[in-house]
Amino acid sequence: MGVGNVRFSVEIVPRDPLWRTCIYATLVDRLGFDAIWLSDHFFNRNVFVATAVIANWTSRCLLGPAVVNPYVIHPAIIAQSIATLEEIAPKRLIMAIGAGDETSLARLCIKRENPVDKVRESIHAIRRLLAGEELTSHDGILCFSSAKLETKKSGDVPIYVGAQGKRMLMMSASNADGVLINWTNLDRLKEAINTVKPIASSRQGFDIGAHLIISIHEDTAKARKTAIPFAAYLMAGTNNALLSEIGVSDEERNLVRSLLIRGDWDRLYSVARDEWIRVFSFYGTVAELRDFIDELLTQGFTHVVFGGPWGPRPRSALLSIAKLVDELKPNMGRD
Amino acid sequence: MGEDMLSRRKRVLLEELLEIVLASVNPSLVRDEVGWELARLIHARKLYTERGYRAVLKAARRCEPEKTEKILRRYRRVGRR
Repeated sequence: MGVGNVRFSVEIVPRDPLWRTCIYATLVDRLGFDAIWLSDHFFNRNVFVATAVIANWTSRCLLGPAVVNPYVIHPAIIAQSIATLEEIAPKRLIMAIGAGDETSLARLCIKRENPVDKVRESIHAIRRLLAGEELTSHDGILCFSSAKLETKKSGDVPIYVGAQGKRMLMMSASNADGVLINWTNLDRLKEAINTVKPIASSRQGFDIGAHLIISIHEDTAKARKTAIPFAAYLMAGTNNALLSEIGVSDEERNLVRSLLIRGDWDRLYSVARDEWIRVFSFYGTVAELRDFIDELLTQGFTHVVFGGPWGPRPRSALLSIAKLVDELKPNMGRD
Repeated sequence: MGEDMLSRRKRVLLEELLEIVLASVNPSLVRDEVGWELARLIHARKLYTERGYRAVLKAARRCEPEKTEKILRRYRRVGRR
């Protein structure tokens, strides 16, 4: 489904029983998308186990655990997991790493300290471990003493960074193989790509992805309702500086966070405001989504990730998204 | 019998039930054996068979009983006309 230099992929959240994740993976693989990203949260199914399972239910899609978190999983274990997956699905692995959201980390009593340095050091450590190097380092955030993987070398697995803030975006552009920008708002995405592009322009093949939260339906109210918990989750995990830019107070964020943790959906629907829903998610019709994607391609994005919920009828929504991407092809020219 | 292809009308019903199973917020109510059988039939491209229909129906009844019965009632009503 990659057209020109653009890739189209789908993010699956493994919060469901694995049989349902496998059904979605089968569907996405057959619909011709380029990649499946599997999200990583400690409270869902384990991302590496889920990736191993869907590897056997798919045949052509690239597979990417994303966005794995170096605060929760030591980078050496991330590298070990990727190397093991590479044996199951040779040449199909990609991965994304990021500092994660504060809401999830707080539930594990983990402080999100020095996120940019932590992710940067993790990228280099994972890359070197996958390439078969032995690491010894005591002067950074990460510490290694003769650490080496006894697995097959798989140093060419592309490492992306899941990023939102300016410093993380800049670090990604100079250290990673790609970036998944975690906004679903055209102004925010434009600002982000303008940060990344000047730094990444000298790095051939650097992949600039828009990691979108999508909910489509012909009835916009239904699409909106489905988008709210997903947008709320992202909003609640975003740092205060970014939230104040979009007019979300600490009080509002804390309320949304507590409603999410309690699973009080009715209250969440009643307090949700478009001012932040539309920053963290896209909801609307397929035609509106097409305009949105057209604009992203004009801005220069080389990768579009369609993240869930996709819509109140997720299977139909995926079929519609696949059709939309097929329609975009003739307008873009192929390699 | 399990490999028999379905009528067009029953295929539409099956797709509606599948949509219910894939959209449900209660997928954990579906027994794992039933869920895996459904996944395997889809993967083997055998969904549109009597066996596939039975697997989808079983899963849908577990995770969304009311919605499933509503769809089945509509299907039967249209069939009687």
